Amino acid sequence: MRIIIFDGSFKTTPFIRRLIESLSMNNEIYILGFNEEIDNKFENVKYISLGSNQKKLRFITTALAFSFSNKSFSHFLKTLKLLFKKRRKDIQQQNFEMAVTQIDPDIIHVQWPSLMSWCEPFLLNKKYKIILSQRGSQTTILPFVDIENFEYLKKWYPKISGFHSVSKSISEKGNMIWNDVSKIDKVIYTGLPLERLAFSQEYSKSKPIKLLSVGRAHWVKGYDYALRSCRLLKMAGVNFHYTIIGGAGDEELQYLRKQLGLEELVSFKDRMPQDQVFELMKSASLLLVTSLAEGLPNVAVEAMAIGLPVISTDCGGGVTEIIEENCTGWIVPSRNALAMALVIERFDLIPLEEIQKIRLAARRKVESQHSEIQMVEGMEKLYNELIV
Amino acid sequence: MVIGIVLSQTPGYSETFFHSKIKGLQNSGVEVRLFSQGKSDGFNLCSVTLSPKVTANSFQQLAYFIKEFFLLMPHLPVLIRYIKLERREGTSLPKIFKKMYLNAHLLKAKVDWLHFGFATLALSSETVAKAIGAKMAVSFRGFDINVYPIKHPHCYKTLWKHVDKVHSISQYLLDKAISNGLSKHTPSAIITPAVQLDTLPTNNFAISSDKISIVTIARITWIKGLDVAIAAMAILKAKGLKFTYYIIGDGDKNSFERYKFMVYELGLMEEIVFCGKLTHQETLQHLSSANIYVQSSLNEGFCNAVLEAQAIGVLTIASNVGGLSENVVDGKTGWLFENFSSESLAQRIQMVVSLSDAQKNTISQNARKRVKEEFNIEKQQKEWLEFYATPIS
Repeated sequence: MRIIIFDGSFKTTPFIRRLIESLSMNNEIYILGFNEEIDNKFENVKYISLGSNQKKLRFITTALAFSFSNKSFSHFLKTLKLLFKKRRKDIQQQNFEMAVTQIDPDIIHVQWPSLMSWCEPFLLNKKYKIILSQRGSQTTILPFVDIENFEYLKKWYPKISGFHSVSKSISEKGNMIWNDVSKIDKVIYTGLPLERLAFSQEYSKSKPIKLLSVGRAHWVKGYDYALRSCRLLKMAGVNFHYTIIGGAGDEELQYLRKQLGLEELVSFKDRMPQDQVFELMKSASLLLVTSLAEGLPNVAVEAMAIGLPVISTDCGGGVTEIIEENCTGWIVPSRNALAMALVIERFDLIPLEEIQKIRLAARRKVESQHSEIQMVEGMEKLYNELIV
Repeated sequence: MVIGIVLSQTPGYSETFFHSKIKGLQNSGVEVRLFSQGKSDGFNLCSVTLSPKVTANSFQQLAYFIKEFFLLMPHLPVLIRYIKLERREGTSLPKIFKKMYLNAHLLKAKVDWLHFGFATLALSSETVAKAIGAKMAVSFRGFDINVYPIKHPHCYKTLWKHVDKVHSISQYLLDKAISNGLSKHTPSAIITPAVQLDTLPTNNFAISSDKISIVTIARITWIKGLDVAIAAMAILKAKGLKFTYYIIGDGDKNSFERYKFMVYELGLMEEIVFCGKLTHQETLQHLSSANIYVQSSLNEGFCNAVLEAQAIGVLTIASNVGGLSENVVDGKTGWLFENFSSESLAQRIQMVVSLSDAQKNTISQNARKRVKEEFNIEKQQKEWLEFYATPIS
């Protein structure tokens, strides 16, 4: 199959990278993005730049190269005109359309709803099969706080050939935007490189217990509630230390840490490469997922694979597809600092053998639900279903 | 006397604090000059000197640099003093030249006082006043003292050393600055914001309606604690209270999404209205018909909006934090609730709703009376004159 993966960028997120890597074994993969360079390319994947927003000269040469390849003088003139008028977005749109036409793909897989506007001409002429992934806040939050966004998606969703959802719960959110008996929507869970994510046999609940969260400092991660939970833990005399990887430099979090008297008990760290995060997970006691909304929190899946116990907010429901209460982890309601604090306090009292059982059950759950094979097979099945 | 006030922008029409300050000083024969990075069209209260331009184009910047260098030549003694002062602070020569450029508009000034409108604005200009032979004053805002030093510890070390007199809008901020390293012996004055009472409408709280109206005026940003207020509204709704909660203020898209999503999740779409940015007149209209004003900020230096709400006679509830406890006298001119606690706020609102009209009237009158007596423009203007007139030992 010839597949375009459209993420807007070459860099993409780790899980889209994994998808690309796996798909490229059996398929011809093209990545379209609005940048010119990328460090670690996959060798058998073709990267096509649509004109970077950063580099002016490269933007012009990219635009002209596309225009030449079209072999039409009037088109060339039109491009010059657009360049002259500095109509950046129009040029990028033109580049996108030409790139797609030249590739002539079987599938265009759009990774984020915000990128749909680029695909409008193809959604209208139905020349190519277009798939949209539903994986995060652009599906779980934006349509429900921005009526224009909701109306936009509602208008264009029926023209999309098929949907990929990272969880059942996010698929239901998508159905609130638009649903129909003819709608093709497959839940395909993110695949992890489980052979590289070894289960950590050694586990101990250190004193103080080491609480860990991973993810950028954005309100959707609910760290403000996590810090309020920490204050309650401190008041209850629980011996803990909490680290937020990705929380460094955020004004609100620094303010709350100080105001709530948590300077000794909470650390914020810069973002770090995944391998380093996995190493830190091995020495932590407990992962806290404090998000307000997630399709399905990948970080929870990763922690469970490694063997780090997880307490998660229900964050919109997706997490219940991976965590079964008291069996593979613990779930608390979102926006409830007290509930989170109580479960952490209780965790501190659970005997090690009990935790060992939960760690093993969590690993098995991840192995059965989040293998790379199920992701690739699921995705290829979805593609095939549309092509036939 | 000539007073130079340093601000980032000329004050907008609604920033009555600066307008009344400047007018008051002028009426008493003091000359006021403003130094800022930008000037809005309508501003003509006093002369405005703009700071040197900064551009990303290095050729253009070089040209500006050379031009400013020549313009500074007649002020050579000042420059020499400035370089000496900065050398004493351990500033490297290239950095001194950069600072000299950025402070060029101030180094050329001939004023008796150089007054920085915010503490953060004085950063990198700490020695300028001494160099030009003026006294240096700094005003504190909530952000200056409550938030900025947490991310930038010791940022005011040089400022504390050189400032001659500080102005705070509340005792709380002054104490906090002292705990952040300001010397107790630095002369200081607390001059609170003031309200021009006769230009404001009066609240008609007595109108009993089956649906109460609650108002907050706040920028849509985390420090305003809107999540505390929204969670309180969810509690009130669950208890069967009928209300509309208006949030007046502007913010970035991300922050609006944050609070709108909370409203969506808690099922409060019918009860909570985000009004966005309104004109001062529209805001006053909202206040005059509101039953309760809520300020759930996680911190405030003093909070103008709370003062204005009390001036109009709206029953006011604010979080017990920062300068708010100086602004609202708990149980007399309004009520305070436990910071961060939506349960405490919800309880307060329920309690206020259950008061008799006579009880509400008493609080409303107390609030108006206190604002009239203690937070009037004349008092503020007098305090400003004293601020600059008192000799510094």
